[in-house]
Amino acid sequence: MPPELRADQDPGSSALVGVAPAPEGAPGEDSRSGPLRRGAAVVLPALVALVVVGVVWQLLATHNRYLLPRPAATWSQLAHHPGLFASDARTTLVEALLGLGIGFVAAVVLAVLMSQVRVVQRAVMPLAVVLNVTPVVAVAPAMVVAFGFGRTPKVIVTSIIVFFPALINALTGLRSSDPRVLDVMATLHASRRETLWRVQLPSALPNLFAAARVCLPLSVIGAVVAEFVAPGSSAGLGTLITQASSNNQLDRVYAAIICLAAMGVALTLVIAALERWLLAWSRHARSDR
Amino acid sequence: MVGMTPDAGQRSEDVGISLVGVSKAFGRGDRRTAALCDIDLDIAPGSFVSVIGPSGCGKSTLLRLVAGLLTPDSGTIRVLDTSPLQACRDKLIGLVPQSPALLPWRSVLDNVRLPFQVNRAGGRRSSAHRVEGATLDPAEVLAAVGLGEALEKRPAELSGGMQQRVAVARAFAFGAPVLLMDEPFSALDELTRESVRHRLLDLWQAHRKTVLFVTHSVAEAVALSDRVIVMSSRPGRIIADITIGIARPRGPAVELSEEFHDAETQVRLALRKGWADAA
Ligand SMILES: Nc1ncnc2c1ncn2[C@@H]1O[C@H](COP(=O)(O)OP(=O)(O)O)[C@@H](O)[C@H]1O
Ligand SMILES: [Mg+2]
Repeated sequence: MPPELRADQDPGSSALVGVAPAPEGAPGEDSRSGPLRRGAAVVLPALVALVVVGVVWQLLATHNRYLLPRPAATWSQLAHHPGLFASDARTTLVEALLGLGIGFVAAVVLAVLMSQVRVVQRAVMPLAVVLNVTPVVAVAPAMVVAFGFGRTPKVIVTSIIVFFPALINALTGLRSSDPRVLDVMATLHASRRETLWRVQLPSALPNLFAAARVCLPLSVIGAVVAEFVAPGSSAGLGTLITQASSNNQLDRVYAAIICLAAMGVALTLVIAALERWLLAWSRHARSDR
Repeated sequence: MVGMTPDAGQRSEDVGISLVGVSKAFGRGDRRTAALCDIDLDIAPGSFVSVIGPSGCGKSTLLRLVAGLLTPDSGTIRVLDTSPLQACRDKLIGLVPQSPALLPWRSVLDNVRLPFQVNRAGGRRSSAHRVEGATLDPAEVLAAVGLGEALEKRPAELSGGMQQRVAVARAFAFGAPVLLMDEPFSALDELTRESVRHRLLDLWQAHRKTVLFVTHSVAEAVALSDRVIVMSSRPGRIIADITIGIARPRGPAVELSEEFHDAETQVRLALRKGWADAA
């Protein structure tokens, strides 16, 4: 196990809020306390907060059952219909990941083109900004009209939502190469492609991961919103939420929301793990400065 | 120069780096600043020449012109009897910038290998020039600059001095016969500077290359160079060309000698004269 994956560094919470973990040996790491005590110190506050939320939830739910379902009822929804939630979650996950993949790759490819060819940058940037300020939610119904109730409109909405933050981050990353390294490459007469692959893209990796951390939750939002506006569709957690709320099944709505949250957490952890593995050099470099 | 005949003046063996009437200005209109004005400079192949002067006098500009990173407004620049751009194409130039400029995701060894991996065709062409500067083994060069133990480390794990030595090794190993160094040691503390300087001197004495070395340290210039070019600012021009006659090979002891101090004084006086003229 590489040192950067040590369990006692609290990979979960810092990764979830997108904050770079403290470099090794940073102040705050108390050498007197063992890993167990440190683990407890990290887990305990979160656990307490969770219990408080649970208690408040329970109190609110017993007082007004139209405001919130009781936690137990929500839990029993999940426990009694695991297949339903699993299959809807899979549908939404596939839509989100496809949309994320397509939007992200398109953004990176375009960012590379923009960084290489000035004209492309001038042509694309205004369009991208317009796309960014357009509320994509408003585009979703039109996508349903155009592409029907299947997977396509959801994937399109998701990739549009993901596109702009990915593009901006990728551009920033591609521009972040050390100009002195570029000088060295120029005196070696390295081709554009060599410079791109050996310098610019690796330099852009930290920004690409930052983009991924922003885009992941966005992709789930995109998929769910697209499901909302396609009432005839038959699957997905968003559809499940629409149907359950029109039947006043609050417990089912919240069960679906919990599934979405769990999905978001799982995806974020995957990205965080990838980042730790691929960007060990970057964290070294950062702690050095 | 040994064996030079009058009609052999244009053969590549006799031209290291040459600048004739080179001028360079930045900006336009009111903002136009002349960085370099009418520079003539001839550097024999295999010699070590330092350029020294106050900051802003155009030292970096001079170096970037020779490296083909800038083009002169007027005048001609030749590097081993070709244009700077052709020299880059043929991989004749090793650049050591002011910061180490290493790739942080590569190990020390892989950083030194980088020049071998890009523009491979250029490497083959450069051997056709048959100039001093066969390719060297990256690991051996790193060992020669005292980094034999650090081959697999990442740059961030090294001190500033070690990083700068990696940058020197990177420019040295791939066989470029011309080295251009822009204040490579200016970010280091005095003691580190001195030890890195001695490593460079050893390396260069083992593998003679044509070196253009920009510095603002008088001691560094004198310790390393065959000639010290003194520049004044606004616009940058050459005000003195001082030959350093100290015998080679030079070791650390040289820096304590009378001869060394005399040369230092000579350079200092030339620098002061530059200030006095500017004031
Ligand atoms: N890219 C540039 N654009 C505009 N002015 C520049 C540029 N590069 C250098 N200069 C100007 O040219 C002069 C010489 O700069 P430089 O060669 O960097 O000096 P030195 O390396 O001796 O400190 C300075 O006045 C600087 O402001
Ligand atoms: Mg400079």
